[in-house]
Amino acid sequence: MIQILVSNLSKTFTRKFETGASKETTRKREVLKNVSLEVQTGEIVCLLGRNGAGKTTIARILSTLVIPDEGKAEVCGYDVVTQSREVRKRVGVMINAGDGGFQPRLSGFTNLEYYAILYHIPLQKARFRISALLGELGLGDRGSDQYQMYSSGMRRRLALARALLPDAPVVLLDEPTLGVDPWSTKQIHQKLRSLAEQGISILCTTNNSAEAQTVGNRVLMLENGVLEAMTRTEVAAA
Amino acid sequence: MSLILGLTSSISGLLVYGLLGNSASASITTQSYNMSLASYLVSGVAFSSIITNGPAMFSQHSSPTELEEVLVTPTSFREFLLSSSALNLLTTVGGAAIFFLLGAFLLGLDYSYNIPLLVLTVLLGLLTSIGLGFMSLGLRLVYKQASLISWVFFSLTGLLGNMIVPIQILPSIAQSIAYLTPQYYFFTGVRMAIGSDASSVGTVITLFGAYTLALLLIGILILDYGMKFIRRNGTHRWV
Repeated sequence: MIQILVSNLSKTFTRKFETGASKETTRKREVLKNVSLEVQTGEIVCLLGRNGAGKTTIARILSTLVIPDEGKAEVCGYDVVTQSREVRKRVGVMINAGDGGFQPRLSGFTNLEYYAILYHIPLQKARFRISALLGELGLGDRGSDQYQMYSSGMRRRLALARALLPDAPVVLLDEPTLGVDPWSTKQIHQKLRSLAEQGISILCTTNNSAEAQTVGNRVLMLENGVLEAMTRTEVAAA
Repeated sequence: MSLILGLTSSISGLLVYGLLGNSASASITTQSYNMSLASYLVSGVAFSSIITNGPAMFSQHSSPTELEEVLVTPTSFREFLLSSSALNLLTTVGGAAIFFLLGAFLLGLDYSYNIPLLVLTVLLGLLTSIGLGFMSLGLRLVYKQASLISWVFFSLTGLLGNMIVPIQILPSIAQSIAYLTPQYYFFTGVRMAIGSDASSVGTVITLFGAYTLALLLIGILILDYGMKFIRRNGTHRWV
């Protein structure tokens, strides 16, 4: 069953840029050009590409943050533009490499409790789930530490726990292992594979071809806004 | 520590205005609102936070680094803003009541209390603040700054809002502008509720109610526009 469906998606951003000391003008940049992809139930699809290739834009469109100019995107059969609230009930999201949205003086555990409220998860159930997730992601003994004391790798893992908190059928991950040490990366990959085995569909962006090959059932290469499927050999050579 | 410092500066500000007001022998406020200048000033300062907090009300709950993470959850953004600010709204009202009663007690000021009218005015003031908060945030999402609306609003409150300057002493053109500000209706409503039951109270409250409703609707529209703008342009983050 198709859980993520993207069909002929295009997106152009208009951005200001400076041409001199006082001259400022705008320029259009086509980030996505007729991009199409599908993610089946229990499948991990990796979007591989250079920095600025448009990987995050796809994740942002699927998580309802950005509206596409053309084309269609659906999550669990719901349109990301016209049925955005239904989509948000069905996705767990880690964007910007999980770098944001946490209160520095609160503990990792309390930060996740805060998001559990936003995901409408009953507090008792949320606490049980948070404890389990922190344990699975190697933060079991650091949950009560203030977020500001976390290393960058620990912050990524906490952000991943936030994405997995709603127990959603679809998970969107934007560079989930950026800055994470190799041991924790391995732990995260194992967790993602175990989620896929449970039927969770995962779309994961990365600029690391080894990660894409290790964790992805399929790898798609995004270059200059165009998406192409890659074979294992091509991924290895990338 | 910041709470103690804030309380101290608020109480000292209240006392300064009260003592200054007490030194006045006769005042336009006695004629207009059946209260001394000190009573007028203390009520203006004590209740000011209810309406002046408006433009900045939601800024702390919509930081550029938190916005995206909140927007990907099933909680609607307006619901998030209101629930995050609920405690702040309650403490603002509680603080205003405490400062007002404290000022009245310390300075020995007399008021006549029309509690239902006061509650209604405060409620409308809060709704006005929420409308202004939506408006300010919507503009901030588009233009990435909200200093202009805050500046205009605070300038108007001090001079034209009937907060500490009775509009009766203003030039006629300034009085005309004052009637266009929501602050005027809020502070006049408060004075009528705790000063005298002037015959025009019905008109003032009706106009304030209509103004509040309009501000709320405009605020919602501007916030929705701001949200659409950032979803179209992907400009959720800024510094």
